[in-house]
Amino acid sequence: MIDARLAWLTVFFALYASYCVYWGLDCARARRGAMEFFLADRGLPAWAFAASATAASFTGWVAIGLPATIFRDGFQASALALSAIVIPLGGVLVLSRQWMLSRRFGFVTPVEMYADYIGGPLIRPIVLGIAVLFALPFLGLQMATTGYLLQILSGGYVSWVFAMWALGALVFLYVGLGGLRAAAYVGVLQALLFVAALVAVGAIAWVELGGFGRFVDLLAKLGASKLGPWGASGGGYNALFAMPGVVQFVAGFGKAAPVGGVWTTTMVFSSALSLMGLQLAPAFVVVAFSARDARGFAPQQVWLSAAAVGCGLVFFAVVAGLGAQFLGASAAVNQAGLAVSHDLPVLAGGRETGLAAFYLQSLGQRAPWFLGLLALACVAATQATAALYISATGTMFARDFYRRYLRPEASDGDQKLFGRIGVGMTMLLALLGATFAPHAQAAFGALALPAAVQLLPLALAVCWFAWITPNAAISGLIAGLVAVLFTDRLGISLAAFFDIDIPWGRWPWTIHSAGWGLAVNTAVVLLFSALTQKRSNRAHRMRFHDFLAQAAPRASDSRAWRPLASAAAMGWLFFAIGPGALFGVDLFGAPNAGAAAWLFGIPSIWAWQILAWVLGVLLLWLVAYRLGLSRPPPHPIEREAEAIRRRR
Amino acid sequence: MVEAAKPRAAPASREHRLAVMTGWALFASFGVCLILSGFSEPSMIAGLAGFALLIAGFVAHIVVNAIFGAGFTPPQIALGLGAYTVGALCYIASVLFDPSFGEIDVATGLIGFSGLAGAFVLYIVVNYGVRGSYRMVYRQHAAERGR
Repeated sequence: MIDARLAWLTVFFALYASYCVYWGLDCARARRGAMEFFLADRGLPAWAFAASATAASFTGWVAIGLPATIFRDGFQASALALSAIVIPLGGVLVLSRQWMLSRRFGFVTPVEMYADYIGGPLIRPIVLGIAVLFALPFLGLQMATTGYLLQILSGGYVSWVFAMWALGALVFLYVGLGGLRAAAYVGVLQALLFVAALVAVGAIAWVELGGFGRFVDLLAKLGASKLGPWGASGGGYNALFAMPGVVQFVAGFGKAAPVGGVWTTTMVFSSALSLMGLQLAPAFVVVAFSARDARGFAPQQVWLSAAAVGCGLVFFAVVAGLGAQFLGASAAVNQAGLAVSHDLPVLAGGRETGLAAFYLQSLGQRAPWFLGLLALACVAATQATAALYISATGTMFARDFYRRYLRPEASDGDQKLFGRIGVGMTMLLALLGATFAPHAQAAFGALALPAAVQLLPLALAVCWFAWITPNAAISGLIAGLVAVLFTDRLGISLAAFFDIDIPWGRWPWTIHSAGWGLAVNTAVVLLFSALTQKRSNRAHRMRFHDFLAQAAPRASDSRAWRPLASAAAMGWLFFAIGPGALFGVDLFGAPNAGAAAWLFGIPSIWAWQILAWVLGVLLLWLVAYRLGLSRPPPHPIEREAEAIRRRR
Repeated sequence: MVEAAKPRAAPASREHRLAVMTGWALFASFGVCLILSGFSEPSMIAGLAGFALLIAGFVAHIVVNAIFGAGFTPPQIALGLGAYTVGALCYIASVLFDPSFGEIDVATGLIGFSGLAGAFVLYIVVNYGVRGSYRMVYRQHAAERGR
């Protein structure tokens, strides 16, 4: 049987590799300059951008990791599915405007944009540092995940290290050949496969559970019990069906763990903010700069991310995660006699992260061809992120390091060559880190998203608020990064290394390091902006803001809609992922009252999350389309010739 | 006007190719897997869902062609007919030589392959009309005979 599975894995991966290399060669054959390699000559069609950016925004973590987290922590963790709204919300605020600025002033990377706006020597290395955090440890983690997936699916025949290096070599090959265009073109298929993988894992659980009605009956029995790793919540419900409060003032992981589960509403909120870093990361902004026009932004944010991926997350990821409880993965549920089958092995002690792989493995007995295809889909979901991010990092290496610091007069060909070298070095270092220093890489990788979201105030300064002064923005960014570092694993380990006893652990007060960082960052930005208004070079910054005021799209009645949209956004954040989410625990029926007492026939907290998802899509539609924040500019953008000439 | 159109031609053709290849990569891979599942279970629903996905892939190809203002290229037609022929031969061989091939499998294959052929014929008839379709084939035969 293992032979059939291996054979089908080989067939599908061979076809996929051929597809990737074909597009790498096809894009390389164009033999055009560095701008083609870096930014696809700013010519990525809207639909290709929308699809590949969606795959890059969510990464394999969503398809592979979220069901596993929901399996472990229940509906309190499934609130994270609403990151399908939060992630594009960050993009709606700034992406279209950043794209317009890149067109106007010829920015190739966001580092150039921020450096031009802020000035001074600090901003460039800081933003580059955040980009490197994304490129090396974060990508290493993603690649290692795909390696483990293949190791499980091949029954141990293929080691995770070999699988990871082979997949890394493939990504390097097609991105190194074809640049960003090849990465984005392959990304279109990867996006479709990503959605397919997400749906398929849920669908497998659905079928193995014997349909939706049976699943709900099992949930009702589980809700009436106290089974699960967290026991009972404060309200007396099974903690898998409740949220453990708004916040818990505990010292944090490593010192004192929270009671009744990790996912307080504050933890959900701050974790969702951290995921916003995916669209604020410098590498993602490079991808946005490559779009031919801004027509792809709104569909990517509203329909592909929020609606399509969101649907997959709130329905299929939940069925896959909670369904695993009844398919043999939970020892406690098995012992209580609630399991309907033992298709999955007992998953505990970190083994649950392989849930998606074990689902596919259970399918492999009956349909090895589907195992091959869906394994590929999971891998492709992760590779989409890897490809776009190493391409963008190569671009930043060539533009913001080599050309900026080593050879300012570098020719077009030199820049392209060093872009390729950057791509290769990025992938090589990420794989070396994953192979030889996985623990260090995990500690660094955990900082990538919270660090990237610290760019939000800076991005808002560039795109919206001229009153945020450069000094304030840079000070806030540094303070935010320090706060992130010392509320996460790496900073605490560093302090321990130097014999400094920090009185808190990781994520104190059940607030994610991204939340701590952003709170400190915002406070510093507000304070310093108030103090440094007079000394700021406002005239230089107004070059950006005057252009945006004149060129940015705006709904004719936006003045009337703006207060409504602001109130809707605040309300949504409060009730969907903020303290208001606690209302959802038993508003539509107590979790332990049985299916007959549930107003919508499903657990109240799940119904609340589905409702929040629907309203979240409407909210995004309102701000992206109705308010026009992600609409294309009404007139062609006039380029500032002098600025573009300087940047060549 | 002509000069302005030239540089757009290559990217448009490449994007057309990308759309076509992506569509087929998705529909064909899931379609074939479902067909295989349909024959191995045996399950007529799974098998027919697989054939339906292949037809959906064909329809998606037509829609993409319409968006890009292009038609089927000769290599695409050759590849499509070739794949259909190979699939149909495999099916016939299975019917004749595989003793585990049951009634449900035979029915699934008959309906599925007929559906695929029907979709192709329908496309030609809708696109060229009954008479036009006949003439197209007749002229081609005549040209081949003349050659």
